[in-house]
Amino acid sequence: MAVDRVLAAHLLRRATFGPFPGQVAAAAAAPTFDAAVAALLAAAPSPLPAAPDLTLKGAAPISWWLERMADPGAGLTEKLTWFWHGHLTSSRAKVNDWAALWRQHLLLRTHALGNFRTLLQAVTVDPAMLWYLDGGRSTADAPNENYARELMELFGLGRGSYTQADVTAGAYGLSGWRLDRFTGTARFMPANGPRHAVTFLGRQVSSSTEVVDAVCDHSDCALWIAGKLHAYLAGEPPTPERRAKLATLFRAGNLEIKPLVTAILADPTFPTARLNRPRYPVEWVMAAMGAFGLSNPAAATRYLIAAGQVPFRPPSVAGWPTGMGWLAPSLALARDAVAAKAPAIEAVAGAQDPVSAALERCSLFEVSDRTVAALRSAAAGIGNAQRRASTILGLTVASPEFALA
Amino acid sequence: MKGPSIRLVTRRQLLGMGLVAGGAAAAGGAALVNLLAGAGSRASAVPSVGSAVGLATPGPASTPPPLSTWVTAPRIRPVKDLAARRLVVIDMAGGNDGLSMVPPIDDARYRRLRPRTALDPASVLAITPGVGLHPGLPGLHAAGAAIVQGVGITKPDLSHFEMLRRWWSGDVDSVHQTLTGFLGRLADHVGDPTAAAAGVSLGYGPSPALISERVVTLSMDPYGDGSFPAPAGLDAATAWTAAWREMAEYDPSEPVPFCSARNGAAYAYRFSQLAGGLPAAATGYPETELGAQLLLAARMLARDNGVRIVHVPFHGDFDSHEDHLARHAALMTELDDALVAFRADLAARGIADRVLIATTSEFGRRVPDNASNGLDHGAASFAFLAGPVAAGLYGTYPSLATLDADQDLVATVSMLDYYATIAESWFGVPASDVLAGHPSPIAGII
Repeated sequence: MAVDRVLAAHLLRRATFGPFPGQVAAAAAAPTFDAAVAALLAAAPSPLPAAPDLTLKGAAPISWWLERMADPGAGLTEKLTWFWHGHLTSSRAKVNDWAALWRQHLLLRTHALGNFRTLLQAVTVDPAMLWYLDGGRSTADAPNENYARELMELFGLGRGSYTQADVTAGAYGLSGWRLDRFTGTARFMPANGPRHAVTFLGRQVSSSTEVVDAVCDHSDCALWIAGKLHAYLAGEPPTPERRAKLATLFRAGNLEIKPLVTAILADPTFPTARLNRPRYPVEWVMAAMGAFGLSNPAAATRYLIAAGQVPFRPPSVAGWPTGMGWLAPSLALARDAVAAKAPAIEAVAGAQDPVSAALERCSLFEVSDRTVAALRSAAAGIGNAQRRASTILGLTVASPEFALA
Repeated sequence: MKGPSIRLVTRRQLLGMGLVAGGAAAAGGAALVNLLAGAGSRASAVPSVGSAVGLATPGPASTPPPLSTWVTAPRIRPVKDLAARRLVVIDMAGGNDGLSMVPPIDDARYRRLRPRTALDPASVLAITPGVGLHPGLPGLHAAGAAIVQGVGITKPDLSHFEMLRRWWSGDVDSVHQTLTGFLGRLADHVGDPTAAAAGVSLGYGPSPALISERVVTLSMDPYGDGSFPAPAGLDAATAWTAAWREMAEYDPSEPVPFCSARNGAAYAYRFSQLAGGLPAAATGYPETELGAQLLLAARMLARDNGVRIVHVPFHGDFDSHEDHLARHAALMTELDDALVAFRADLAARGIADRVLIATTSEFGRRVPDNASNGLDHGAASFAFLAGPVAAGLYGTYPSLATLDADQDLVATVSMLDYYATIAESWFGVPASDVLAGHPSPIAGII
């Protein structure tokens, strides 16, 4: 093997919903770590299954997405689609239209590794977004400020890069879109839109396109996106110097997302940033189910409800928080409920050393002595091979190592 | 609603574990500085905004009226023993519109500023001739509450996430950058460090409001039972528990994420013992999430198990940029229905004199409405304390004639004074121990 399995597993934890069993060995066969990154970026995702049932009752899109994430061939695109869902958020809790949310999902999927400006322009007038952030009835006479503020505070620039006057002007520039909630479509009504140019972020704008362009052209935009994507993939915010370099690269590349992702994953600091953040609940449950050899969207959804990370239901427009809060006691109990139902799979039950087999199955290649000792004494205390196998696999999934990304 | 993550230095990361379990930092032996020490020197920069703030035109009359004029239930006297007192905080994140919760009844400016979203004066539940409660709050109207008018922050911000931070931290001007939550600091003062939990948030994941230094605070899924699942079979279950406890062993030499993961497991295990001993649930609650949360809160507070503070994140969407009237009305009804059941439950358990109910929200809403029948982000709002309190209107009704530069209400009562009332008047904790800026409790409520 040319790439250390520890590093191959790290790359797959961050850039996909895996590693799924067998994937680490394949990634480790690449000649160098950079080659493994390049292979991940070049891999075409497996074909998408047919669209889910989009009738209002039920939650088929959630199951559809969890099933898709459980596909080992879904790869980097899936992870980036999830990232954008947490960044350019909309929630089913408010948007009472699965079809509109599904079209937004496809938009995020299409542009997940594409161009940020194209994505932000499209999301700004996307019907589900107009619904979620109240742009669908905003008129120039009394503009609704919701989208204008979040466009700058959360989506494009970050706090401190704009004033309340920019929020007011942005809301004016964005006005005039009309959402039809029955058809889930939106169109621009010139009579309700801007009648003159306004000063927004230091330039004159008179349409939603110009508002979004002004955000994308602002020097803080590339910094904001580079910082957030780095924090997600590398598990920690970049240093100011690193962030500035990434932003320069992002701007020079015309806000193309793929080169930014490549630069983050291929940076010499990336391989050392291991196990420095929690596996967020969606990542954790996908990896756990993968180790169990199951795709069980219903069980995954039950866990995600308890953990507070249900797809299409972000807790706020800021998406899901990051940080150590996901290792809190209530989350430990929720993980335990999944782990305690581990199956007795042959890869563990039939192994000479079930503890090593369980660790390999879970792609854990750097494990504390304490965890190994705990697993070994548990294995020694259970006579029945099947029950030993399920218990050891469950405890491995419940270990602190598996809880980290 | 939590904002984007904040980069924390190492000690902050340790404190961040307060999210996991407040006791962890102290247990690790770190001597943590009093984060509020020295804050007092800034007092002059943070004026306490009492009712004396000069308003060009005062709002409707605000003298607390005699109880009998609007409250039909008898007053509950607070339990004398301070150690027996508990707190439930209902957090209405998203920005609850105070002008709709406590509307003016006969104010032409209100209807002129809000042509699309003003309440029908005939529907308002009157407290005084000029001020009433939202028509969706008949239970609160009958039971009475201490309504705090114009509560807010002197120099407000219009961002949810900035204002949420100020409210959870109790850091009014965002200067002190306190690392603990206001409720976490209160729990540090009134809680037992050996308890499985002194503060519990009934939500999906931890609340920063409960970040503590000395006591354990944690969160619990409102529909969960806190039990500790283990596989079937006695030998497997025994091995499971032993291995879990071994893996949960705290080792300060390990990196922070490992410490957090191990601590999370350790405190979960301890808390599952407490959760397993909760008394049975009462009936009569509405089938809403808030109903489930308050049902669990009553069970959690019914016994002397160490839990002193319960934080209830009300997951309703208060951010009513569109269709304010109908959406806000549904939320008020949901709140009232759940509170009526909760207060009946507390009374039946004999603990109504022990539990103070308080509301928070990061801001009120813009005074003029927008074209989509909604209200954008605003500033000052209203809050209430319910339970063993003297019902009435406290503070001064914010002026509709003199709005701030963004067309928002100017605060007449500081968030700090509101919090000081909870700390000092209810728990007997000197406000200056948990809040910067020398705030004073609002007189007469407890």
